[in-house]
Amino acid sequence: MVIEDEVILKKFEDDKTRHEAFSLLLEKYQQKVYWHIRRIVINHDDADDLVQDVFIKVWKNLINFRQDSQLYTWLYRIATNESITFLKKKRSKNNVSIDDLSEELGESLNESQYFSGDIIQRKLQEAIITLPEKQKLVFNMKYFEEMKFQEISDILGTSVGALKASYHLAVKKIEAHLTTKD
Amino acid sequence: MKKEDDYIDWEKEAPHLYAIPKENAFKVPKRYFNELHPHLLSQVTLEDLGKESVFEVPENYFNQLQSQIISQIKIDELINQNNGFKAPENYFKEAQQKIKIAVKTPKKSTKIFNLNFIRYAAAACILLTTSVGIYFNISRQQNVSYQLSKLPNEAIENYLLLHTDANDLPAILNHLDNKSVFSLNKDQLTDDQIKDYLEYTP
Repeated sequence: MVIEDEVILKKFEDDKTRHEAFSLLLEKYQQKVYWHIRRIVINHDDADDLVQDVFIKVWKNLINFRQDSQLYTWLYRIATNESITFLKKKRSKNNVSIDDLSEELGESLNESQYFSGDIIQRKLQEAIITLPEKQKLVFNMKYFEEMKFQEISDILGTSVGALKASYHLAVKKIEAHLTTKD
Repeated sequence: MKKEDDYIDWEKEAPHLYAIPKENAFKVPKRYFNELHPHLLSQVTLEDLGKESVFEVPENYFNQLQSQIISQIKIDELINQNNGFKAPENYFKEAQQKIKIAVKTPKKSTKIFNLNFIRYAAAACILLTTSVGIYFNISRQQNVSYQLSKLPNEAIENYLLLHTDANDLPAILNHLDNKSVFSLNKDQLTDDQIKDYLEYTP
């Protein structure tokens, strides 16, 4: 049974049912948020740290959440921002370029015990990793999470037209990557 | 694939991507999501606990702390500034070396008193004191004997008659030799003298 966001938010407003509301929110969104983060940062341990950071932020700020946007849109926005900030920090800390970071993420994909894809799946992920940040986000959200462009627009704060263009470019680049020989 | 939403003719524009089954190749540790839920709930509970500080600080502590830190920084700056005096080149380096050498060299200690001299002096004092004491004691004894020998017998007898009692008789008898006693002529003693003697002798 899927609990409506309105019910969760209503329970969260009451001190007595706040923890219950948060538990319902976790049940509904923890996996979606995790996979969204994981596709951005690739590494499970990094995703695990980030998912905790995200939900602690949600706990702290949900009381101030204005219901002029969807709850899931708000959650995805926090998760996306945290993940991008994390990758920027990682790049800065290791003093590497975007290309080097993509290569590093690709290597972690090969070394990871938590990736079970075959050769073509691995090649697809390697292609996604090489995409610019915005194209990567749009492709993952559209292709894997099957979000509507309007929903992605709400999360990323980018116009639907720009997102469609980014998605189209991402698909072209990935197709090109898949057709090249190793 | 929803062609009406993404505006892509997948079969024409991205046939290789279209051929890949859309599946999640990423994995998570076993039971990860089962454990994530209670773990996150614990995290937020801890987050709530962490908000309240059980420690207190004195009133205006942080205001005073700030001024103290600034004062300390100013003092340090003043200390570190050049004070206008100059020391000779390598002075501190050489001074350090000199101090080290001075510390390492053992000092010849000058004793105010020689211990052996004190011992000998003390022994001499004791010997001298003892000798002087013995000398004066012997001299005094010899002097008394000498003085008594010069006294006439009558004077001694009178002194003894006047100043002795029955308790002194044993001492007197010890100093009388048999010869002098038995040399007494019975005829020289009167009956009254013998009678008195017997009367006063226990």
